[in-house]
Amino acid sequence: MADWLLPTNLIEEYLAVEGLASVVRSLVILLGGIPLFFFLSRQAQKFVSRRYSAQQAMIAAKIIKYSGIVLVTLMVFNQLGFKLAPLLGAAGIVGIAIGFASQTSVSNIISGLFLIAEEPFVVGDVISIGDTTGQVLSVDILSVKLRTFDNKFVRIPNESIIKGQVTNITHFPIRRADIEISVAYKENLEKVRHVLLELAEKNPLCLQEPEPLVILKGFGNSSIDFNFAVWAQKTDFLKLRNSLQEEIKKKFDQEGIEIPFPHISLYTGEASKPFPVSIVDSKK
Amino acid sequence: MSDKAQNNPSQPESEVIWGEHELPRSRLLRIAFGPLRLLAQARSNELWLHNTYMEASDPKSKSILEEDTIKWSRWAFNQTPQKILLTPALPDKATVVKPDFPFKVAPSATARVFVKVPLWVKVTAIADQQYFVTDLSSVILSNTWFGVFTQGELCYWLTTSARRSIDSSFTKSYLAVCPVQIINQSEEELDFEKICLRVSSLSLYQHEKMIWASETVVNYRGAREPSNITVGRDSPKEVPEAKLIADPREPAPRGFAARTFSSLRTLTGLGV
Repeated sequence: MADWLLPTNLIEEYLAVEGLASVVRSLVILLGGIPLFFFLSRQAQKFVSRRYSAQQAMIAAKIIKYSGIVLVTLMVFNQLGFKLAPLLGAAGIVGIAIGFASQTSVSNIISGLFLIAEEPFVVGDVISIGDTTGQVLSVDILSVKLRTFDNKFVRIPNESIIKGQVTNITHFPIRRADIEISVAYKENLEKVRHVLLELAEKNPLCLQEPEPLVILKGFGNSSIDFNFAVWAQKTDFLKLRNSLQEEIKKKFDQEGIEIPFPHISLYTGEASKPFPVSIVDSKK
Repeated sequence: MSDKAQNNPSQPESEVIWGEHELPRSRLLRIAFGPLRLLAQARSNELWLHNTYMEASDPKSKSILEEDTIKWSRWAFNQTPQKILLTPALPDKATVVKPDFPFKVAPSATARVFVKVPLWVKVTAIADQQYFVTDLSSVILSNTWFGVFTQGELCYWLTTSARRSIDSSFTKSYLAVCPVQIINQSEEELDFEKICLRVSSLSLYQHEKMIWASETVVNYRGAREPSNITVGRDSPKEVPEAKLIADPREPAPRGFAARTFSSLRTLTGLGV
């Protein structure tokens, strides 16, 4: 028999009473320890989330879970008679080898640690990364998980978040809604301004401070363009934007303020004379 | 019986009297309190409530709803509620009050102002047990932000005449009088453009037809320092014999420090 094969008598020895006992102990540790640490992790998440943020609860749960897995693994190896010191040395060498082989994963892990420490966003925030906008479900070792508003699950590697631009939409408590409005050239601009500010004052979702602003943006091709900037609590942002735009249309209709569509005037050479149009048969 | 049949506009609407109100059988209980219009009805172990707000210029303001498109809120009990209990309360958030005409308080000077704050109506159903169901503002209040762009608190917004004395305008039943004593302890002039009142920590007192809130004493210590606020434990000194009718929503410590006068000063950044 070749040297590298385990001799039968060795296996027999190992399966002797003492060897069998250590296998049983290892199984008990494994089957009892892993579920125990998963249970403790869930309990810790519940407990911490009652007093602290969802992000802190998630970190606490992960620390308990991963520490537990490492501890159980070491205990199992110890029971099976492996010496921990050479094992850790070997693990270091293997780790370096794996690290070189999986640079992206390592980069993601390091980026994940930076994301957890820096906290540009936390669980529950709404963020935009590239073309994706969604609510943060978890910040994990390798990736950040998002739920988009059309209920898609998106996994974004931590490395790309660290490298790119992230916009946290719900970081601050209040947000500004910019509503673009155009009115016809014939309209009284003071009246337009007054109508808009009155609508903002009456809308209960619109914050009175920071005060609503009506900015005259400029003279467009077919209209005078305004930016109507109003502030809302972040949770009311969409409701305010929708309700205010509906109210603007309704009020402009009541007040006879025209919202023009793009139009072009044609001339036949002279600026003062319009293009001659004659109706040949009105019935057709 | 249809809602339309029950909503007889000729039926009188009661002005709120704090206390218990019998829920009439097969009829609606109608309550008008300032612009608030409240309908209540007991239906097979349930309390049905509907509220709306009428503008002063609205011709329908004297009669509640004539349409049958009422959106009801319902609460279920073991027994049919016999009565509802109405109690007054102050707003559930801090309230930023902007005087119509701002004024300045000189260094070391003291000013006492009286602010009118809309009352809320707390509705408690009386069935097999007393159960608080909801509270409603007597007027629709706008929101505002008190603080800076990165942190602060959501408050109600009131534009009011911060009077230096009580006059006939204070006698409206849906407004409480909040006396505020401002003591300028700093060496700078206090620009009183607006004030943030922590009304949820004030008690309510009744004297004749007027409802008073406990006194708030604000010690101003400069623009960069939070003001020291003290809430009175008794009725205001103008009405020492007034009777306590409602405890504060959130009992506050006798004295606490909070931003009271300063708010947003930063440019909005538009056009940049």
